[in-house]
Amino acid sequence: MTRRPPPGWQQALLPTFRALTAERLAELRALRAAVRQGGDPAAGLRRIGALAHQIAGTAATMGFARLGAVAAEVEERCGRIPRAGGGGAEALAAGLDALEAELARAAGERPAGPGAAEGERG
Amino acid sequence: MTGQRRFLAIDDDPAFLLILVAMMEELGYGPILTARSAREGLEILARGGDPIDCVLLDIQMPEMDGIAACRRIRAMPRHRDTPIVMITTMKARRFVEAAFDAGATDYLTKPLDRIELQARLGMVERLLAEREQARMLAAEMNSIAGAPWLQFDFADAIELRDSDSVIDYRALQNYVLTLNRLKLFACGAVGFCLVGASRAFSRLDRLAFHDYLCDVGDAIAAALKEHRFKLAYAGGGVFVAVLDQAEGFDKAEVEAAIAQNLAFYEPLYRPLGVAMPSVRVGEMARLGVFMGRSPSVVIERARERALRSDAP
Repeated sequence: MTRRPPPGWQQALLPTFRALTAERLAELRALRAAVRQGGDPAAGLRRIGALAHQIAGTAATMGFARLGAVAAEVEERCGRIPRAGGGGAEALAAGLDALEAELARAAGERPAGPGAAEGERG
Repeated sequence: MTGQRRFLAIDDDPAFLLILVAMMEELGYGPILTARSAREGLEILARGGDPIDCVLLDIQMPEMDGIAACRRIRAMPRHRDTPIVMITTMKARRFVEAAFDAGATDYLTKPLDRIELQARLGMVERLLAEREQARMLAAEMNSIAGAPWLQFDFADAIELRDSDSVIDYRALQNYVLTLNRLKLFACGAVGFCLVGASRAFSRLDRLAFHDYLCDVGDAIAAALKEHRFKLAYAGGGVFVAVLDQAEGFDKAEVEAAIAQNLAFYEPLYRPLGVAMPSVRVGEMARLGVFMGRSPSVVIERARERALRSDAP
């Protein structure tokens, strides 16, 4: 199957998008580290939720559908944990691992895995 | 023509703004100004100079969210008619309703789809072109200086500017399109036929007819107070309401409540020799999974049913 080339605007924006994604990955890693080291978990959760919200809003448009889907799931989990009295932390941790991996791929740190969707860049 | 419109995109995410501007420029739109917060966007809108023709507004932003910003924009006299398109990841019904209640013209969800964006911007372009045409017509007729919006025919779906209960008909259509896109199907549409509206139109001047419609719109809205709804004037003496729940609507009860509410206006209309407004309520049309790509057909169906309810 022949892949359709990405539109011109998408190609032009890709380097900027990758750079922004690398910044977001660094921020996510720093936020997780801060919480692990005793930082305010509620504030960390809010910021991670906001970060995931932004990623979910742009990734699929740039051709990274899987990153967008994982980010949307993390955003949803971040909103659910305070309502569940802290429950669901393990699922969130797994979601954050997946988000880090997808961000790393989109930022160009790692190649796309064998399951990468059609048309998705690595 | 699209190159002449000035857009303002307000979103706290710089990546999204980059993408949106690039997509729009490729589609031939521009210039596109950007703001990273609602506050910055409001400052740009409040400035004099070249006017902004359309605002593209995110909902979830720190400090002031897009819903509050939308209300603030609508409160600015120069932007009470400016198309406001919400562009957001928020897909829950409460956000859609809050946006249209705040005065949004349309609602798009992220991630952005190029074809969808093109279609919605096309709608904005048509809306702006229609308004320009109406303004030019008013200027040519040189009548009612300063009030071009009072140039309308009986069939026109005019905006009722003095009623807080009634939204623009095009916004109502976009609201139904949005509910359909997000598969929020539980709602239904009901038409309200104003009996003798064409007679009132021929007896009253445009301003008085507009006020007459505002009174009727407020009476219908008050009668629907047990429901969550959006109401618009569809032209030709017909209002259409979209109710968020199709269940629990009692047509006879609502018709009686409207009559009771309209009785309040009798002392105003009698001295003018205008017949007391009376409203017939049509059968409900439901928004369903089979509406496909033309969900606004549900509004047209409600309109037709209301007109049938007035037939002898």
